[in-house]
Amino acid sequence: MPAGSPLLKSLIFGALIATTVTVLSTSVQRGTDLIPYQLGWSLFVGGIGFAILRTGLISRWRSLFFILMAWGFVLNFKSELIGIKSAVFACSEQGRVPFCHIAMASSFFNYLYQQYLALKSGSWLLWGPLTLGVLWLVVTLSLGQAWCSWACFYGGLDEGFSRVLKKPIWAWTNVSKKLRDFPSALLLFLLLVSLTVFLPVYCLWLCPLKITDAFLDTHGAVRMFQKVFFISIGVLAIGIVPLLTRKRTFCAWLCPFGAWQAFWGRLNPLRVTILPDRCVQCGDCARVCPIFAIEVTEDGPKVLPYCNRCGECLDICARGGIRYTLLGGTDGSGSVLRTVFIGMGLVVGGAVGGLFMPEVFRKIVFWIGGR
Amino acid sequence: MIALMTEGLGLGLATGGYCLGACAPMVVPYFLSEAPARWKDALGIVLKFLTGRLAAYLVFAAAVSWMGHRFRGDIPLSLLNVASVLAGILMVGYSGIRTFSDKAFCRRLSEGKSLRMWPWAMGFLVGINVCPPLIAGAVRLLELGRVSSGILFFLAFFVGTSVYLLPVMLMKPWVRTERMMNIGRLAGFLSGGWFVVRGMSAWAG
Repeated sequence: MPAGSPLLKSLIFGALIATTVTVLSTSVQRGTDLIPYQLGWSLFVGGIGFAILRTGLISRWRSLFFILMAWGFVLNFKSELIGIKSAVFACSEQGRVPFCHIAMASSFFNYLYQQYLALKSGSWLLWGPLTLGVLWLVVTLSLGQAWCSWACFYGGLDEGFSRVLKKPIWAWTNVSKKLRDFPSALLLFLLLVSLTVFLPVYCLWLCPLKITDAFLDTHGAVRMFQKVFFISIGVLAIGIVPLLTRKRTFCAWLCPFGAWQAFWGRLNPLRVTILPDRCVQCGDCARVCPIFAIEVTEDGPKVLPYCNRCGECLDICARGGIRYTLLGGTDGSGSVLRTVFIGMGLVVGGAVGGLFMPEVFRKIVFWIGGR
Repeated sequence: MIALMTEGLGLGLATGGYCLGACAPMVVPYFLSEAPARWKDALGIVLKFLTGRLAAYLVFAAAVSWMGHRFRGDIPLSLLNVASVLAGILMVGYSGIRTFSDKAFCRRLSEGKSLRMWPWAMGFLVGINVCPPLIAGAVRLLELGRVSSGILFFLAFFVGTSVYLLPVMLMKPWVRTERMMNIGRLAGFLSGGWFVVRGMSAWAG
């Protein structure tokens, strides 16, 4: 476990993050009435940066930011959808297809086909998803797989439940090697069948994050099955199993975007690396890894491509044997890289949260104070 | 005859993208699971699948042309959904055998010759499935109403649609790792299950 940084350095780091998030947040959403809330959000993110550097604990503070962002998203966006109900998610140009990053990954071939149609039609209004693609590229280059623990506005849901109990009731640590690649298999399957039926199969049948029935099937029986799937997957994978095991079950097993990023995230050079000379093979890192991304082998623990860079293993390792590195190299200054990465994570996550968290703060103030 | 074959080829080329969509959930997981070491093996897998599909097309063409000739009636699509269910069961079975090949029963099946027949069988069952190009071809067959013309038309149609399946081979350089094989097997389970559910739900109406 690394020691904390000096007070001044931590303060400067926090202030830099807060300033950057403020600039990004206010340039995307303009409006004087939002500014106090945007500043509030930026200060909160900067405060998280300060706390991480000062205490040396990454995941404890990151998770606070991450969980708050996810529940803020649900509160702001999803609650409005539930209220509006009909025709939500639907954009007249895109028909009935919902678009979030998870949908983009699981129906990527359909997405490519849509882009081809958009290109042929010459209507620039149809190019919305392409913008999403550019954003994805920026995020992937800057964070890679770390999106799933630093910026995804859904990931904090199961992480929130996984943090309720201090110790797991069900110690789920080992996963058969044959099964660990299930998320990639699920992604492959979804890519192919979505293309077959020309529909986003994941969104229609499996995504528990869609807590509205706005675009379910019109056939009564099919609609009922869809609801049963959503509710059971949501209750089990986001709620109950994370609560019992302290593992992010949905993110680890059922999120196609996680598998997608496990592949493309390699574009980003940052890795979590276990230093063999310091590792005593206690297995603590594998035990606490919330997404089963550390495999215990005869040669010692091995970090799998599914690693989210959440920092849980860095926090637990008593000998400081785990570091953020560039492409797995074990030399060089770990602490500089660590600071740069944490800064990147918080800035990107803060910018994503800046799209809705100020509005959440405003709503809360309105609900409490009535203005 | 030339005109008929050109028409079949044109229809195949025009609609073959759908064939890739319909067959890929079976072919791709199978290809990954088998992890062909050489280009020859990769070609072998695709050719076996295509041969099975050709057989399906010819049987389908003969049957529908004969029906068109005799009855001028509807195609019994519900029977074709049975093929979807069978293809799904076959894929789940295959994936199970490959995944649990360390168990004695699966090892026996895995090492036996019967598993080599799988791509033919899957090609046949997937080929006989209801998909948009097949329906388009079938409509033309009903009009033709002659078995020989129907077979010729579907032979050319098969060549046209098969062009879209050949690129599956290009995955060969990336497949030969244990992880990719596992991914293929697990995806095979999911695809097989999906074919079963799709066939049964279509059958039930």
